[in-house]
Amino acid sequence: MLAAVLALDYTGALILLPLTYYSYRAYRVSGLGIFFNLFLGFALLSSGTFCHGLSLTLAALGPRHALARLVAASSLASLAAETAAYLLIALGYTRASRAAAPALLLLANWPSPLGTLFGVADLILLAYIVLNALAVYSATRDRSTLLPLLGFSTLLASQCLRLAALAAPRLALASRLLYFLGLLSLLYLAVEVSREG
Amino acid sequence: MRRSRIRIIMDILEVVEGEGSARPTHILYGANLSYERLTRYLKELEEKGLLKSERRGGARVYRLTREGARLLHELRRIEKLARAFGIEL
Repeated sequence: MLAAVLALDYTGALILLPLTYYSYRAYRVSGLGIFFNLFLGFALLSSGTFCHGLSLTLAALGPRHALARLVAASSLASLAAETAAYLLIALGYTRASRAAAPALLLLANWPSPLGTLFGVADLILLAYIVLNALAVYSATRDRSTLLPLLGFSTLLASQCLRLAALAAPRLALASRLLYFLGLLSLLYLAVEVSREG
Repeated sequence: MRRSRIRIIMDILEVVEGEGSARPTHILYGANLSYERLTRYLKELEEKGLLKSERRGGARVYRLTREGARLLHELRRIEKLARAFGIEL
């Protein structure tokens, strides 16, 4: 299970890079702040996904004291980066529309009230992003607007499972799998954008 | 709705690309601009090396440079990305 989650995390972090790049180029060329929000949001989401994988990797290395601090730090970085990412993307939409070491593994999956707080904040932000993406799709009925809706809806479902995994740890893998599928939608969007012109 | 500067530049470049070599009057109608604004934009785009002008049969015509074609290609990508997130250019 751990190997699968690690593979999903590291691949997921890579998947977000093309969309991060296109958002950055869009910001550089157009100067529109909305693209900067998207660029920073996707860059942080990629970093957060990478940090999640890193915290699990460190946790798997063993329950040594020195590692515990690193696991806690990268886990916190992952949570903070993801929340900041969703906040930036939500702000972007607003502007546009107006088992190796069970204790350490648990640490990497929100053992603390702070982690749960980040998790709930992510859930609210994602719900807001999905509502905006739905509004955009309803107005255009365009395939390109369907992709962010699908992607963020899947990330929202993943976040629900991630919170549920606090009570039922078996759901953690399903949550990461859904997260990965959400990122695939965003990768497909990047491919569509690259085809233009 | 008021068009952004980036949208206007994209409209001008698209008209020039569509015509191959376009007279200012064609660009004016195609990009829906006043003469004064068009003159300002054409001067700027030429200075930046995105358009090249030449005299042909007594009239001035504009052509897209390689840089201009590259920018138009990138602007189309940006437009697609913007549309996906409901952003108006």
